[in-house]
Parts: sequence; C-alpha cells; structure tokens
Amino acid sequence: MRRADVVFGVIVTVLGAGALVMALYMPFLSATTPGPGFFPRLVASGLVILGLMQIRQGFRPLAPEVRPVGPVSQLEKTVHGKASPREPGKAFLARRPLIVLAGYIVSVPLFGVLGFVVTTTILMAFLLLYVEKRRNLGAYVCIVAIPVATWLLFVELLGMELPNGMLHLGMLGI
Amino acid sequence: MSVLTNLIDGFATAMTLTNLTWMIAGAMLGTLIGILPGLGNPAATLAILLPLTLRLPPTTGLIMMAGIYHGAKFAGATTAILLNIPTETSSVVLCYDGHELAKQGRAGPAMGMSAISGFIASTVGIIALTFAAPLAAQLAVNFGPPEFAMLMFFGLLLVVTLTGKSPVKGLISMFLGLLVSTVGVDIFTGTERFTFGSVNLYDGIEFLILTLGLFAVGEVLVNLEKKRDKVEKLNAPKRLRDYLPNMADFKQSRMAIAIGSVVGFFIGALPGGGSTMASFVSYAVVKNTSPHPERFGTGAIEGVAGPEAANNSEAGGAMIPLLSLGLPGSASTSVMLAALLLYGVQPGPLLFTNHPEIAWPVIASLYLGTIALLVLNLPLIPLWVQILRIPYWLLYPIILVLAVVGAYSVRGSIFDVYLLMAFSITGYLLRKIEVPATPMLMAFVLGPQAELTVRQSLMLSNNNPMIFLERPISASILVIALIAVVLSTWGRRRQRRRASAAI
Repeated sequence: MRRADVVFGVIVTVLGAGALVMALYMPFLSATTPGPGFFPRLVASGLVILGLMQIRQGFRPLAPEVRPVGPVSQLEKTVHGKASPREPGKAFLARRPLIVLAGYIVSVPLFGVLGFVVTTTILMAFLLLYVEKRRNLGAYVCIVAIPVATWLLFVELLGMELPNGMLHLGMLGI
Repeated sequence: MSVLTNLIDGFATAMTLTNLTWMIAGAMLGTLIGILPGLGNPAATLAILLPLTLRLPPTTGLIMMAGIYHGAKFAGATTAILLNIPTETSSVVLCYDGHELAKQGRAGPAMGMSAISGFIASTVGIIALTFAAPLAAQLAVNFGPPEFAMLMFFGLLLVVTLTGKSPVKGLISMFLGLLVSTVGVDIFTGTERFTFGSVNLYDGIEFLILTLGLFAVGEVLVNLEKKRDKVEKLNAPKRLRDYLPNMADFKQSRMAIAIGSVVGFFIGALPGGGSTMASFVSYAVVKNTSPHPERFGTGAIEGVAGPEAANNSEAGGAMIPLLSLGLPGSASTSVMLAALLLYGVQPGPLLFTNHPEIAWPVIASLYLGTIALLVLNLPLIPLWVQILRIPYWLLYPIILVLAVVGAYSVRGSIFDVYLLMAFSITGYLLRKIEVPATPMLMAFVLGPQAELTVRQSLMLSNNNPMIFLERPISASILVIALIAVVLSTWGRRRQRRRASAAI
C-alpha cells in the first residue's frame, strides 16, 4: 500500500462528496435549460469516482513506469518502475520549504497593516538571514533594495496598486 | 491575385521608417512589460500601452500594437522557460519542456527555438491568411455552440494524453481544475456557486493566481527540499554558441513546427479558438505523433517548437474572425478590436473593402512583428538568460515577492494573496504525490468555455444531448477526440508491456 496515494484518494473523495452535496442545492435542469448545478454536479461526481479509483490504485502494486510526460516531480525516484526505498528517517514534508511557507503565509496579513515595502523587507530579512543564513553585505543590500525597487517599478513607474498599509494613513505619524 | 497585391501594398505601407520605428519600440516595450507578473499576458500589456498607441495615426498605432503583441508573447515564453512562470495561458505548455531544458543548461536554445519557430509559423500563418482566408472564414462561421463544446471536450480529453504515469491522477487534477473554474456567480442565472458567501469569490478565481501558486511558488518550494549547495543556481550556458539551437535541434523540431503552424492557424481562425487552445492541441498532436513521446516533459526541444509555432500562426488565423467578422478570438484580439473601434474603424465583412489602408498593413505588421522579435530578441537571449545566473538563495525570494505583486495586482485585494498561498500549498502537495498540475490549469482555462458552450447547445436542443452527434462538424470532432484518446491509451499499454518485458 502506498499511504500517500490512499490519503490523496480519500481527500479527493471527501472533497468531491462535499462539492456534490453543495451542488445538489443548485438546480440541475429546468424545462429547457441546464441549471447552475448542471456542470458542478457532473464535475463533483467525477471527483468522487476518481477519488475511489485512486484509493483502489493505492492498494495495488506499482506498474512499470511509462511515458513520464508533463512536469514530473523532481523528487520522484524509481528503479525499473518501482519506487526506490525512501531514505530512512526522511519526513514526507521537508523542513526548509515548510519554514519558508510559514513565513510567507504570516506575511500576508502584515501587508494590510505595514504596507508592501515594510512587510517585504521583513520577509526578505527572514528568508535571507534566518532561512538562508546569508549575513553578508550583499544580503543586507538586497533586503532593502528589492522591496524598494519593486515598489518604484510597479507603483511609481507603472501606476499599479500595492498595499499601502496603515503607516500610509498616518497612524504612526508617518 | 488582388489579395496578393493588397498584401504587398500593406507591406509597403507598414515598412515606412516611422512605422518600423514604432513597431520595434512596441516589440521592446511589450517584452519589457511582458516579463512582469500581473502584466505579463499580451492583453494586459496591450491594454497598458493602448493610450500610447492611440496618440499615433491609426495605421501606425495598430502596427505598434502588433509589435507589442509579439513582444509580450515572447516575454511569456521567456518567463515560462527561465523561471517556470507562465504569465499567459498559452505559455503554460512551455513549462513542460522549456523549463526542463533551462534546468539542463539549454535555456538559450529553448528561447531561440521559441523565437525561430514563431517566425517560421508566422510566415506560414501569413501565407495561409492571404490565400485561405475565404475558406477558413467560411468554415469558421459554421462553428456554433455544439461544435465549440466538442472542441473544448477535445481539448479536455487531450489532457488525458498529457498526464504522467497515472492517468487517474491526471484526471483528478483536471477535475479539480474544472471544479475551481465553477467558483463564482453563474452567468446564466446569477446563482452563487462555491462562494461560501464571500464577495471576493463572486467573480471567480483569476488565472494568474492559480498559475503563480501551482507553478511559480510550487516550484520554489520543491526546489527548497534540495540541499543548499545543490540549488545554488540553475544552469546557464557557458559558451556563446550554446545560446542558440543547433542543427540537431532544428532537425528534431521540423515536424513539430509544421504541425504547430497548421494547427495554430486553423484554431486561430475559429471565433473563440484562442492561442491557449492552439498551443495545447499542438503540443498534444506533436507528442502523440512523435516516435519518442517518452522524451516529452523531460526537455524535448520539439515540445517548445510545436506550441510556439501554433501560438504564433494562431495570430494570423485570429485575424480572420477579428477583421472579417468583428469577433475577437482571445483577450488580446479583444484589445485590438477595442483599438480599431476607438480609431473609428468597424471590423466586419466590409473592412477589407472600406479600409484596405488599415486592414492589410495590420496583417503585414503582424508578420513584420515576428521579424522585429527575431532581430531584437535573438541577440538579447544571452542577456535574458543571465537571470539564471542569479544565485538561487536570492532568486527564490524575488520570485516569492513578485508572486505577491502579481496576485495583488489582479484586483487589488489581499484576499487574492491568501488564495495564492492556498494554491501554493496545493501545488507543492500535488508535486509531492506526483500529481501533474498542468491538467488542473488547462481545465481551469477551458472549463468556463466548455460549460458555456455545452449549456448553450443543450438550450438550443431543449436538453437533448443528441445535438452533439446530429451536427456533422461536432460529430467529426468528437470522433477525432475519441480516436486520439484510444491511440494514446493503446500506445501507453504497449509501452507498459514493453517495460514489463524488459524487467
């Protein structure tokens, strides 16, 4: 059994079932026209069926690898179509991307409060100083220069909007 | 021969020093703005620069727009190949092989092939437009909702042939994309679908947010799993000759360019066809007709040549419904239509009779635009490829920051940045469990139009699904689609048997 495949199948089935329940509240067909629930019901039903098929596949042995088309995962390791043994003690999710993702997600609410430049500076500092351990002059320059340059390019030059934050409203007298 | 004479007159008008200068300026501006997230798709770039072009005389302004259009298209290919960020839907397919080539240190040949195949396909497109326009226009007007529904069905079925090891995972990805595409207010009835009462979801989910999350940030997170010293920087070519495609590349790509040129032109000629459909269908056809389909997705140069050829010849084909029927086939041609109307020119059957001084120079300038790209951007490829020399510890924070800018810029909403985070996590997890993200994106793009045309068709037939089989063109498309899937499945089984025998 490949646990990740089975778990994925279960998630897809549950998601499809949830979508199907919601779609059942939308009209499917009227006298002459397909209703708003027509397409969602078909798609959600398809997801449920595919989710169940995925669970079933998760319990079957792997078939030989054929035609690895599309952006195949770089992490994929197969030997003659069979998954190579996972490195002992290696977690399914690695630490570094999780830390980056956590910092990235935490920065989102800060955009509304501190504005784009300040929040991006903090995010850059977190990524370069804490995650990447780069404590040289180049890193310090990038931490400040990239947010400022991005702001100048998109807001001042191209007239696009980026979050100003509350600082811009003068809350702290700025 | 009058068509040919008109085209030659069009070239004569377009090739004045003033027009050529503005066209080159347009191609440069289009490339520069096109590589920025949020502004990357040609429609957005055209829209931004529209006020500038409107200050020029109509012919010059429209010629400049053609330059901008080609510049932005090339920029889309550039970001897809170098950074795995498709800024427009038609560039998504370039991430398969283009970015793989970049990882192998062959970004220059991939970009060179993108420009050269585009140039060849544009040549085919312009010749076809000149001589086959009446026939193509006649065929195009016979396309109603059932035919389009089957074309969308064809496109979605092709996803099955594009999936990786597991067709089930590919189909799940596709259905997830279709589900995401239904979010928002139903355009027929105004009913909310999967909005959970949030006003932010009334207009649905934007393409750019999905693509930035699934591809750009997802790719960054996967790369971060590698040890630091292994992802210091992506490979950049070392010698000057490595920046351009070699003879072997051209030999491998010649059929792909031919197929892409023909497929792109005919899909472009359909009202509503669009470059996305053209590039995806071209990729699928090139892959399924290749003697080595297993190379696709691992850095096959023909996987860049075919879609880019289709993407460029589509521009020629798209002029048929735009200029002869006044029907734009894509967002970009919609902006061009708006420009024509702002100049007081009404596209339609009489355009070629009433305003030949505008119609033919515009067609000529589309071709000249690709020459401008070739002359301008081919020598600049070494410069663009320097992006890959940026160390990864610096490149990935920049990608993350630009992703936020792109997501926020769509509607000026922090909610969209949250959605970006959600799709980034989805993209990362999908890669971890080896589910290809491309079918999801493709289904998301094709989904709304597929739903629209199916519902329109059923309205026409009082909910009788036989309408798809009763009309000859839609039935033919359905049969071709089913044959393509059967052939693909048969080929997959045959290869599996061979692989089993080899163990």
